Amino acid sequence: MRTSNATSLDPFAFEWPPVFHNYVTAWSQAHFSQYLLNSTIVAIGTVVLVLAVAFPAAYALSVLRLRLSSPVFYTFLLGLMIPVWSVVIPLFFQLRNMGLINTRLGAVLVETAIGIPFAIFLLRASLRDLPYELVEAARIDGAGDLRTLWSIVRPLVSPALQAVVILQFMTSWNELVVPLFFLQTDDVRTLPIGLTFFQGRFTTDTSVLAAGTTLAALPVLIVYVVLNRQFIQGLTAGATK
Amino acid sequence: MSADTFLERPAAVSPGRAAPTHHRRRDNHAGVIGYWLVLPAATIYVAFTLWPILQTVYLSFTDWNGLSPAKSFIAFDNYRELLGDERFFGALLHNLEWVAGSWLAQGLGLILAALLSASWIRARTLFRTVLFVPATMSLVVVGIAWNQIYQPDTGILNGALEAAGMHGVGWLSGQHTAMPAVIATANWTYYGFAMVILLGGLQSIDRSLYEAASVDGAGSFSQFVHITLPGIRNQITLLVVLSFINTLKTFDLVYIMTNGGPGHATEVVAYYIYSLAFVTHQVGYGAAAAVVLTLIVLVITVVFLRLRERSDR
Repeated sequence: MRTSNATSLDPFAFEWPPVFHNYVTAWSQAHFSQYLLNSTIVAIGTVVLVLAVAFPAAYALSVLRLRLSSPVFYTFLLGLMIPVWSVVIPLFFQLRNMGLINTRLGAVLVETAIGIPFAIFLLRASLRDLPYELVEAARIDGAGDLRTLWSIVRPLVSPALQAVVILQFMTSWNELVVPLFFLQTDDVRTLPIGLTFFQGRFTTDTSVLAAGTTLAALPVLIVYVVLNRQFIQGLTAGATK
Repeated sequence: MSADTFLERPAAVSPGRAAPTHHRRRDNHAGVIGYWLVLPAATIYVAFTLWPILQTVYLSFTDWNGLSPAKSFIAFDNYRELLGDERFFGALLHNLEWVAGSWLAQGLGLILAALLSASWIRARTLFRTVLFVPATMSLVVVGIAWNQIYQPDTGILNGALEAAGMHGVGWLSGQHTAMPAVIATANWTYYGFAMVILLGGLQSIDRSLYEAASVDGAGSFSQFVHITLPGIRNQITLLVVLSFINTLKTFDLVYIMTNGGPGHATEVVAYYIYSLAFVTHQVGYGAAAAVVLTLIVLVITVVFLRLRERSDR
């Protein structure tokens, strides 16, 4: 909220009145409104997709007693251990061939694939405590599997689902490597990557950079302040990957 | 839910429950539906994780440059070259320095956790909440903010040094200061996690042990060594192992703060892979480095899981 000159003279002093035009500059000229939109789409898209595919999968693997549930679960678990570096190189060429490079959908798919193992791991930990009789009872009452999943199982594991939402949102919002490789044009860049490029191009304009940095930090900070306990739980669970 | 789940419940990675026979007919129905429920997750996971890993392994046996359609199979040449690559081992050494440096953050986390679990402390949750903020922040944001702090002319660090009558330093441009400066920044984001994990461990220790020890005349240091440390042994193991696993993959701060420089003074393995594959177009060689990094991480993880299984017995 300050001018560049003042920032460079004394970076931590308050300047009054606050100079909101840095935010306006950051917003309009530095493409930050576009970056913010992209970050929002990618983060929310990833959260929704991870939940949509990982919750049914975790349910099937922990409650439905599939014959192959153990090997399938272990195969997913493998994903917790592998660094992103073992996938990005061929993925770049793969996404290019699929026409998904520099699209938000491409980034959502990659981040979802990275997020699925942990979501399944976390959800299974609470799903495996559910009595199988509950599912049977629902079936006898005539509920279909998806109906059972949504109306009976979902409310029972909602703390775990919340943890997945919070953790995945933060991971995706803060993600650098995936957008660095797969979102390389200005119309699809997310905030962290936009900031990185902004830092490289206009190193002198520290106040606009600070405004952009604040924009990038704020959403996660708000979630953290509001959902503090779930956030710390989710993150400590998340870091064990 | 918490790291304790991961620590103390090997059940989470044990085989699923066996199906009792009287469920068999229904299981077949559940089976068909069940596999349909797994399919979407499996498809995305296979297409964007498993298949690319296989591709990386394949590329690591070629000399592909990422541009030309031609690539030839060169077997283990990339790996042989990697064995003699000083830049690779230099980067790996920086990763190890980073691991060792991060133990300072674990130590700080332990001190803070001990303070927060002391009975006289008030507003424990507030302190924990505030102290944990850096751990929630994007490394891009953290890196940019600390770049400003380390600025030679305008940064607050040199400002403070000069105010105290000392000379400022080019923190991120100095051959010997850049790595510690980046690690210090990383530690700022690490200590909060260690604090929360260790706090959980400290709070799970039975209070009556301390009372019994005081009755027996044990001093506070002796109590710390004989009750506190064994009580949080699992958490300490977890933090040490995670310091290896996470630090070996580290990339963001180096990319934002130094680009591996000056020279290669702050280059870590992940940054080297990045520059091989996407800057100098040695895709095959970069893939080989990525495979080696993955193997190192896998070996450390497996050793940790084994150790934990043994300590659970």
